[in-house]
This record gives sequence, C-alpha cells and structure tokens, in this order.
Amino acid sequence: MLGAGLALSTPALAATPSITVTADQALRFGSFFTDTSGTRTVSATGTVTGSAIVPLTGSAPGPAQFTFTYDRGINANVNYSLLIAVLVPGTASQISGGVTGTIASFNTDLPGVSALLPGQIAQITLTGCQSRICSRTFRVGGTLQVARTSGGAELAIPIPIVVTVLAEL
Amino acid sequence: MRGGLFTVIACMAGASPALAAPGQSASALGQAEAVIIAPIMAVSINDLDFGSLTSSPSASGAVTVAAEGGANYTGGASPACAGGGSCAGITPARFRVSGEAGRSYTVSGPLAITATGTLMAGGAAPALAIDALTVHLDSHAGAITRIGQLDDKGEDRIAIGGRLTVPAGTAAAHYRATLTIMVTYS
Repeated sequence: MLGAGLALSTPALAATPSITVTADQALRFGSFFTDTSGTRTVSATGTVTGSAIVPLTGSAPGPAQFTFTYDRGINANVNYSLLIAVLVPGTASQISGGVTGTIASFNTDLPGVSALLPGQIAQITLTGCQSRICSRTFRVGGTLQVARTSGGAELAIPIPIVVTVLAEL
Repeated sequence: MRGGLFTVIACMAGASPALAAPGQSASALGQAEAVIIAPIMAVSINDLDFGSLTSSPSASGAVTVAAEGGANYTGGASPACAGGGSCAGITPARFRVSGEAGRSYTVSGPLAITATGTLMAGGAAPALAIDALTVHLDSHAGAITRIGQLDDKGEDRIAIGGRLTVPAGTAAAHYRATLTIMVTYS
C-alpha cells in the first residue's frame, strides 16, 4: 500500500506525454452527377447540400471521423484542458480522367471552430480531461467542387490532418 | 495518509496554469470519397417509320409498328408495297443509351404525338395522330417497361413502336413527326 503511494509521488517515473490521431472514417460525398461543374457539401453534422448536381443512389454521404488521443504520461485524477492546433496542410484535390475534384474548405464539430481552411491553423481548447488518457472524437465535413469535361470518376482524395498539443492547461 | 498524498499531487498539478506540453504533433491520413457518375445519353439509331401505305376512301384504318418490329394494318389502311407484304424500311424507333455501367435509368416520352403532312400536290395535309407509343428495352428482355438498366459496358437499347391512325379518304402526303425521349438515372 505504501509502495503505491510512493510511486505516485515520484515525478521521475512519469512517462513522456504523447499524442496520436487516427482516421476512423472517410469523408463520404456519395454518388452524384454533374454536367460540367457542381459542388456538394457534407457538414460535420451530416447535413448534405449541393449545387448543380443530381444526387444518385449509392453509398450514403457522411462526415469523416478522427480520434485524437492524448496520453498525459502521469496518473493523476485532476481536471485539465488541452490547447491544440489542428491543421489541414493543403488543398485536397484529385484529377481522374475528365473529372477534377477539389476540397477547398472543411468544417468540423470541434468546439469553437466551424471552418478549417487548408494551410491555416485552428486553435481549439479541449476541456474536461480528467485522467491520464484524454481522447476526443471529432468529425470533419467539407465542400467538394467538381469540374467535369468527360466521363465519370471514383475520387479518393487524401486528407492529412495534423494535430499539435500547444499546452496543457 | 494515502488520501493526503493524492490531495497534494492534485493541487500541485492544478496550480500550473499552463503546464508546458511538449508541442508534440501527430498526424493522420484521412480520405474523402466521391463517385461522379458519367452522364447518360440516348442517341437515335432509327426513326419510327410506318412506311408507305394506302388509305380507303370510305373506311378509316391504322398501321401499328411494334416495338419489337413488324407492322400490322387494320381497317382501311394497307401497305403500299409490291405483293402487299410488309414494306422494307418499316422500323420502330431505336435509340442507343450509354452511361454508367450497372445504373438503372428511366425513359420518359410522350404517349402520343401528331404528324404533320405535306400533300403530294403541295400544301399542308390534315394532321394524323400517332398513339400507343410503347417502349421496349433490351435490358428487360422484351418486357414493356420504361425503367432500364445499363449493362457492364454502360449501354442499353431502346425501341419504340406506335400506331398511326389514317382517317378514311386521307390524301396522298408525306408525314413527319418528332418523337423526343429523355433518359435519366433513376
């Protein structure tokens, strides 16, 4: 019993804090037709809107889902918050045959941030962390702009997400 | 005593307003997916052709061209061909549809149209009615339906037949009508 108490009081035994981010689900824009150009927006909450497109049957549209996990490295039952920075490094786009798809803007349900612009850092405070491991699942939507000159295409556009812990508060 | 230790540690942690985090970053590679469907289109291959026929001066009649092919004459209408058989060139309208392989589609079109004529002697002839327009889709193996499915090459074929009614005493004339169809993904 005493050993347990001593371990908790020895900072030298604490592990180095670490973070991980996992991509749990893809951002799905579904199947649609557009004559020459159109856009489809899938919000972080799942709302789907479009312009100059005809939605067609196929896989259901939905936002991407990511999970951020922070391992504080210290077993302590305290409340703390995390100040993090989220970055989508650049514009996500793909050309496939006569179809070009570009995601110029993203949106998210992370607290206090509605839009994620490629190349711009968004700072978010995650509150309510209580244990050594603090994990948050968040969703990311976006607007896909499609330009079509011929044929169709199955687009699979990489979306890199970088999360940095700026401070533990 | 143990409880006391826990309390002290918690207070110390809480007293650090901005406990320096390591500034570590982590990244994940997500993906956005979309399927952009190729446009669907129908191209005319053959006109709906009723051929040449004669009309009775006293009895009205009709010629029906089936979507599957072949002509049937009733009443005062009869083929104006050597031997009285079916005239060469009598065909249903045919369209080739192309689009996304495996997709279903709907054919929209009129049930009846009107043919306008030009008298052999010149001048306008009375209009003739074309009705009973029926749609045959290769993808439905003979079934009369307006919903088709593109094959693994993204193709299908549409045939449309109809009935031309010829009133008694119809003067010799050339007749022409426009049959417009629309195909849309369903």
